[in-house]
Amino acid sequence: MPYQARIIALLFILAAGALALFVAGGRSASAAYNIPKALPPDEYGNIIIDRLSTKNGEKPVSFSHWIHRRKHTCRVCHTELEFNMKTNTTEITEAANRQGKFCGACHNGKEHDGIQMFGHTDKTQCIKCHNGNRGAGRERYSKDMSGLPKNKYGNGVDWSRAIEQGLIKPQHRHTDKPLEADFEKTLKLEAEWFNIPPAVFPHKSHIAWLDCSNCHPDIFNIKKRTTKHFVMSRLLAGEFCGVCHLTVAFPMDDCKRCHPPKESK
Amino acid sequence: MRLNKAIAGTGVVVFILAAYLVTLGALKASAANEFAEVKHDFEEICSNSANGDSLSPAELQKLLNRCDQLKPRIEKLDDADRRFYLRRLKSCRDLYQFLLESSQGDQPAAAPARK
Repeated sequence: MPYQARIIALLFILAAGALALFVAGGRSASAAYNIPKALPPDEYGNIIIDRLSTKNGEKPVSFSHWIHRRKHTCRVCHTELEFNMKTNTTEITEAANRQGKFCGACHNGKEHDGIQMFGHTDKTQCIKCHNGNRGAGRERYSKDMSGLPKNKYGNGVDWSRAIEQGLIKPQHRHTDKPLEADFEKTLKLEAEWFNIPPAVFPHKSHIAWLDCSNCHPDIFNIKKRTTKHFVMSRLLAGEFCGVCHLTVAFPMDDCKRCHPPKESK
Repeated sequence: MRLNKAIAGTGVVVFILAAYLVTLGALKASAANEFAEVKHDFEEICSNSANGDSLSPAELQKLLNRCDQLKPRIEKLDDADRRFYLRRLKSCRDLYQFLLESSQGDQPAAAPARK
């Protein structure tokens, strides 16, 4: 075999090896993590709240994030109305609801943004929340989601694009004074695997939904150097991004949303 | 004579009752007024958490001081209100403290080691 042909063959083998490593590496990166099985789009983000209901002889409350997030950002409930991020850790009581706190801030039997809200004021309406059915609201999914940008994961909707394109205009404040938050810093975080592109974190698309205090300092605290623990296994255990991106925001099997291929940046 | 005494007695009871009701009303009005003032200050302080990054260290320090001044006033509210407002006061105070400390020169930790 001529000398040049040997060089070409060697280069070819090396290239094939690199490609095989790249493909295998990519597979092992996603296969290495036990990503939870996704719920159907019309159930993703739905939760059952049962801190006191069953104890008090009522059915647990079902709450659908996708129904509510079209009208209100996460900030309204998780900042102003003080709902914790973890289900069943907020001290919601019927009395507090009746005082206009938690769900009762809107669900008070009065008109809210031109819609007559149900609440603890009408006993025939109890079943709307106290139904114990995680799939409650399924019948309105197709209609509510029509016209919104599609996504393969989560609710089947790209919520960030929906808000960017003005297809939904969720209210960002309940009673707080309107202030403009404009923080565009995008972070780039090296991946744990050599062949996985860095994770990109855009503050801008997060503050469209959240308040700074939802994440800082409890979830992300650079002061306490918690970023050194910022690894996929911990995210999948519900820490850091996993607080939302396993339950409500797009799930972690949507790898490329956080780790976009280099050419798409 | 007896009738006069009975009328006088009733008058005293009515007076005491009226005084009690007036005092109770005044106390309730004062509590409601205090609650409205606390809520106003609370919203003014904590609504800045959405744009905390744009605040200067001096502004953050001022907000921290206001949080500390507001806390004892919230602690005097009734149980449900106290729990509700203390939780968010803590979260916005923590944010301002975090932003203030972060602005004073600490750098983020290094990225995790690659596999």
